[in-house]
Amino acid sequence: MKIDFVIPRYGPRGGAENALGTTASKLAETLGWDITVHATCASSSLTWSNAEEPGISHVGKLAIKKYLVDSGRSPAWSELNEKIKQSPSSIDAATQDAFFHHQGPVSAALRDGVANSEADLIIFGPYLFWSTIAVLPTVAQRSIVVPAAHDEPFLRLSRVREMLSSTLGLIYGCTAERKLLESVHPIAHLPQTVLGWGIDVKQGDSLEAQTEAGIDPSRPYIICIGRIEHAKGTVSLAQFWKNYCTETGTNYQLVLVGENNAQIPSDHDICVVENANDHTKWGLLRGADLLINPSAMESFSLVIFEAWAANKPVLVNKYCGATNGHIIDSCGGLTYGSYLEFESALSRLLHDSDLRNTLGRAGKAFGSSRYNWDSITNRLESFINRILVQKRPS
Amino acid sequence: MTEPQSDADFFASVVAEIENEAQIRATSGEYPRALLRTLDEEFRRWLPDSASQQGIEESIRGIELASYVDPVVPIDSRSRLGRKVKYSIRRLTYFYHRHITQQITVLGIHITRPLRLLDASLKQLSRRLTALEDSLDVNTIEREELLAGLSGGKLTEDLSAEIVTAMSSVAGRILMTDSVDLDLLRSLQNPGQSAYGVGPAVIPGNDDLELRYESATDHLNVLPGQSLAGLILTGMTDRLSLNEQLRTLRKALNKCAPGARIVIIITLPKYWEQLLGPVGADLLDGRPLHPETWVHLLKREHAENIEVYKASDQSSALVTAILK
Repeated sequence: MKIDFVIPRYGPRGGAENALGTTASKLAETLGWDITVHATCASSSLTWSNAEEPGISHVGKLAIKKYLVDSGRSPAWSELNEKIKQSPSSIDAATQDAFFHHQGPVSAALRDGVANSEADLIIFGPYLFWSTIAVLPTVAQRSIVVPAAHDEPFLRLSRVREMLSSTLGLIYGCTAERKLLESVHPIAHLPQTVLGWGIDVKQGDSLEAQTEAGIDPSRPYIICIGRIEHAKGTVSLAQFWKNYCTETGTNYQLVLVGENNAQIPSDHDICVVENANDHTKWGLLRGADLLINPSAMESFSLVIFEAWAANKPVLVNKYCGATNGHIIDSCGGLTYGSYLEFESALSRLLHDSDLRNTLGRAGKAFGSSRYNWDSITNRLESFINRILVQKRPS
Repeated sequence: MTEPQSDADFFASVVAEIENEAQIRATSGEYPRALLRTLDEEFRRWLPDSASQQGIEESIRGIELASYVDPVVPIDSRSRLGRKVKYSIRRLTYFYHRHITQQITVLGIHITRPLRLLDASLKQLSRRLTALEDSLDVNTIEREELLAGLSGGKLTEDLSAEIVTAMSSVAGRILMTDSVDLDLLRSLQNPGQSAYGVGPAVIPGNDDLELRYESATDHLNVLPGQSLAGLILTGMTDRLSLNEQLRTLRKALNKCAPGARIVIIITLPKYWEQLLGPVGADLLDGRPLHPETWVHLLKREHAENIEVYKASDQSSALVTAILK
């Protein structure tokens, strides 16, 4: 069996790309299939500029082919982005094509490499990038897509509908994502599986990590991991937290771990940690009392499963279908839909260690039973086998 | 009570307490509305569009938040002089700003009042509709209780074989809903049929099958027209009221392409009566339909090649057809 994965970048970056790269690696290790990842040489999703050498490399049994980027995100992107956000359903195809071209990463070498592949099946993801929208149609009859979508204007574009409808099947992160896509596009009849993603628990000592990050070890803290920006809800979280500190005089600190695109400064209440490696991240997670994911735009949210693996409860945005669904299924945390709910839920969690332990334990049980790698690779193997043997209308 | 149930109950009670506390504090006036609005503004700015479509109650809350305008203008400035000048202007014009903002707030109240009345009317309408549905049908709870007592006949081998034969020439998607027979689905999948099952009952540990855990109605609502090459209706044909069965059949056939293979699996009414006894048979009168009725309904929907197969033990039957 030969299976290819096509992702815009390879490595420990980006939630969905990272999850797909790791899944490819697990398939190669456990099933012994011939698995190849096609990716560009870019590492930053803001520029898509070439950061690595092109060519073939191997990580264990996994082959990785990297291709040079011809053009990344260009200045024309911002204007097109705004235009599409205003009325995604009525944008003409040419403008959509221009948007995806300027969104990047454009790589003719990647497109040709994928088109010439002899793979039985080619798995693309996430949906929003040129490497999926423009390359998938060249091999649609052998393709599966991992949309990794959340509710955003781009999802409603007709090019997205055409691309999704042309594939042999879809792999979703969670049921909320499936329901969202099926409500937006006519794809409910296509073969699909709700797979989810697994995590690899890493080493990391909490005291060492706190020292490295400059966190006062005498103060307890809560943690938020992910890009620090408006769209991820981190700015709102910082505002809520500042007000919470003023109102309650709490001794807790909020630790934000991630790329600080919103320029939130560190101060007495908030500590921003940038460029944390896996050891530091896991160390900080282990030292925290709980994790907050304030984003309403998630297709799965690996980070809450990492928190559960570390026995930590989570507090998430009530309006995010994916994370809210995980909470309902697991009882591993709480949700908030306004400042007052945030304050009530947080106070309850910070003052009740039994509650934190109960929720953390429930989350861990849910994550390890539903999203362990054995289960994920088994389900994916079964799905791929089904897709390959199914009769299709001529 | 099992452990998972007690965990879920505990979780539900904590969530209810938190929501209740937040609600009480929102109405107590303990927090200045302007502050809450500022805090929630950034939070709501980055929510998906669907979050603002969560019913009239949510919309009214949004209008109420937006219609409150703070008359106290911010006076932050880089220089002390600037701050003093702004402070003086604010004091001098406060009466004016307060007058304007009060009118905007009154406007907000006038907008939300009819919306609240509309919301109340819709809720009343919904209650009346439920009552009307109940009067036309056997009480849902009673029906569920009766049906829960039945073990649900297993599809006989001869009928399973007929279905596999009937579907063997189908190229395209085959939907089985809503009581999914796992063995039959497996038999269909093995020769390479693209069959999947949809039903509300969770069936854990069947990763080799394509199963979706949702109601048939929810699934049919999002299925594109003419997307199915085969349809197997089962389970619902024994359980649903007459109206529900007819509605589901019509909706399901709309999702089938011309030439699609249709299979309807039914428990035979006589066997059904034996299972239920006189009380159940009376209270569930009309379910399931006789095979002849399905033949009539399918003819009315322009199906052809309609055939009926009865199980060797006379417990159930199949009605097969091809959609024109």
